[in-house]
Amino acid sequence: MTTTNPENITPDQPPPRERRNFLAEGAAIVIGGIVGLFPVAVGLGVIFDPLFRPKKKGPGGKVIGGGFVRIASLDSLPENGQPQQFPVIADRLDAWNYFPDERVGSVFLRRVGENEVQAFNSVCPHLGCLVSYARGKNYFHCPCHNSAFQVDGEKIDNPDKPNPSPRALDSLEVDEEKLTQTGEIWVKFQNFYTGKKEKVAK
Amino acid sequence: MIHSLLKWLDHRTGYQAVLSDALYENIPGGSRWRYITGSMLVFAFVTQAITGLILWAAYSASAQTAWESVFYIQHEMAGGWLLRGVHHYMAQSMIILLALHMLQIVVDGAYKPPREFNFWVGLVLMLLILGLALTGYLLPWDQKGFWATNVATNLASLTPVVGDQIQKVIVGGTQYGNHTLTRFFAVHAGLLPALVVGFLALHMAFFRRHGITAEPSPDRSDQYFWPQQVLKDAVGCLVLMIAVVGVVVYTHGAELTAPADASEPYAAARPEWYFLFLFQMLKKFESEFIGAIVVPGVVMGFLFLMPLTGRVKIGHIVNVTVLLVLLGGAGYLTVEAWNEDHFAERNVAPGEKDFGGNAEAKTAYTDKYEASEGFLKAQKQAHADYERLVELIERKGISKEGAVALQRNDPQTQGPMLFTRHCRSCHSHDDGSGEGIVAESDTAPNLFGMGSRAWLAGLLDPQKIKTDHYFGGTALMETDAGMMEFVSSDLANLDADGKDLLDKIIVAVSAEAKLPAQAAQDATAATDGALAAGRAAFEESFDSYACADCHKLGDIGELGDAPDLTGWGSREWLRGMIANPNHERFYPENNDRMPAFANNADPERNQLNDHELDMLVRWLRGED
Repeated sequence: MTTTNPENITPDQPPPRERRNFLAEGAAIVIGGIVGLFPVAVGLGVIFDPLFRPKKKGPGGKVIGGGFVRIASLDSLPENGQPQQFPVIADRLDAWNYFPDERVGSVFLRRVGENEVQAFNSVCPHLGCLVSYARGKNYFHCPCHNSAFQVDGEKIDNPDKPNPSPRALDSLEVDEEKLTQTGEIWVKFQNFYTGKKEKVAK
Repeated sequence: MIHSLLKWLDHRTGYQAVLSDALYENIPGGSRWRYITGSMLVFAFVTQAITGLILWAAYSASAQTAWESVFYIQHEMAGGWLLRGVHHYMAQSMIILLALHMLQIVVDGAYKPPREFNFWVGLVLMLLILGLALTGYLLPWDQKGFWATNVATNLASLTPVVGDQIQKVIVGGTQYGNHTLTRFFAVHAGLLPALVVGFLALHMAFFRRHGITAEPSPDRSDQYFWPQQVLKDAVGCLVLMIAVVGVVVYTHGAELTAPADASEPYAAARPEWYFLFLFQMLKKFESEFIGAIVVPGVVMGFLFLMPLTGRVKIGHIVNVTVLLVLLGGAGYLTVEAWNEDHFAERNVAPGEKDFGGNAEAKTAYTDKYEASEGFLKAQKQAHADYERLVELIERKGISKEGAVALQRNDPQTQGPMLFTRHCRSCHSHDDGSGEGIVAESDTAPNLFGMGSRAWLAGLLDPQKIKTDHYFGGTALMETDAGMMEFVSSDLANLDADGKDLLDKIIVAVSAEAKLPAQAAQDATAATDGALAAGRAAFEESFDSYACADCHKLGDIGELGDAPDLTGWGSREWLRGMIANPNHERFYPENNDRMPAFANNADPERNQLNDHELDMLVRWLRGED
């Protein structure tokens, strides 16, 4: 079998590999690359969606989280400064669901003066377990990796028992005006990144 | 450097042999555009697998969360509409590609021996892809997918002997619910894709074994797969990609209708367009069993036998012809189904058409027109319901009961449905725009704007009270006494003072309704004295009577022959009136024929329950 073009090889024998068509190869690689990346590319937004929504907005544009939340009245705290744990009830946005007045976390409150209250987030700054208050020994203890804190939130440094927490318990701001005027404890409830020396709000 | 690294890699992995085996496959007669459909299908499937996996990471398969999570993907997540749209329309493109691929294979004779097995594997792949399309349609759990899939699974129960059992296994019970979704999801995202991957591997292995079937042609030299055919395939994929993205952008992504609700019919439920021909064919057979099971079974049987019958030339010609007829038939049925649904859009109403006295033709035309009208109306309503729901979600958020709860507690959604169901036989609710609800027979007042100043002014107009808009169709017409007499004589020829008096009364009585739309006007009337003046006017006589002679209004007048106007048109008043119009506050003696909708001590025996009454009344009053 012969062909019209003398340079061409017979159909039985494919062209040798040396005869390269760089234009076709380049185009095939570029276009192939584009269509190859396409399926992942269209999903990048959804995959990294959490990075694009730092502020949570509830129905009607209501800002969720970060504000002061009523926790308890001052009367419910013992005078001797012993910490007491309370749930935090606030609006919660969970992807598509909106839950008004849900339990979103817990805090320890402690009376430190006539009209003064200390508040801590119950989350251990080490790796995020919930600390508990050991009544008899009067200190905070984390069941996961033995972090320990004094009642004022400071780290307990005991040479015999290493304390893995990078910082003191995360204190929360208490609305002093409301406290003195109404005797109610409003706390600015926030969660913080764990494992860091500095307190960085989530 | 790079060279030695690649050499090192090849020594360990042998990748070069694999790559060269893949790329330097010989194509007899060289690369051709007609060979690209297979690669495009692979590209489409890979796109579906990857976009599907990403969608999976945001989807939640349960009756209370499926629609909600899809809504969240569609409206909240970055690029979610694009991702979902690509998945949706790429699926549709696969159906077209499947048809083209099969056509090319059969026309080129690539199904003939020794490639029988590959053709059969291809048919299995086609069924798997159709299965993916069918199961995926339900997952958003919206009205459209819910009702369309419902029909499909009901057809499964027509299977002889074990039909009911098959249906139960597919649906996860007798009714659609959480397990229907979990099952469909497992099949759609697990079972079927895994089978596709397996059969696709087999399909490609068989393909590599036998190579491309090409007509030998003297002026076409052979080529390797790389780079010319790869380039053609890549261009095909690129065109497909651009087309799909184009459609997604043009349509703003895949449609989502209101959340599935087993209690709300959806007249616009249709299968996706690629199953429309089956839907249309079903309408042509008396027995669903024949349309849904026998005919598709025979067609599939024919396709499976094609490699055997294609051995002889005449068989091949028959195969090509039948395939073309089948594809053409499916295309025809699809167009026909679409035309039937959109008939009313493209044709004049039966009233405007001249049938030359042919009553039969007129009936047929009218039926067709009305069926299409019903479909288009339902489709429009579905879009409106969805828009409303988007607004409600924006305002109130989705509770854990799911988005359906928002609809069920929304007067704007429930009101018209309840009105149509319970009130429309006598009452209209029509603002004259053509969109309102028109009574079957106007025997009671049109309740659009009831309670408003305009509505009341119309009632007190001697020209209007006797029209169907007010009391024209009621039994009150037969007695020329009471209100009818009062309006048509006392209010007939009012002088300026009389008109002023009437206006004041209208302001005061209408204020009783406390309509949200009139709140500002009512507030002004309360402060500038118009309200007090109106209440005083209530006791003043026109020619013969004062309003207070028959009606009570707060502490003015006594309960007498006519309805108590205290709180007239208010939520409480309307609830009372609808619950029991025969109550002494309303029409104890002369209620025409309005039933008491909620007067039973046992709430379960009432026509309207408390919640329905609330929805209806709020809607009538234009509350949100």
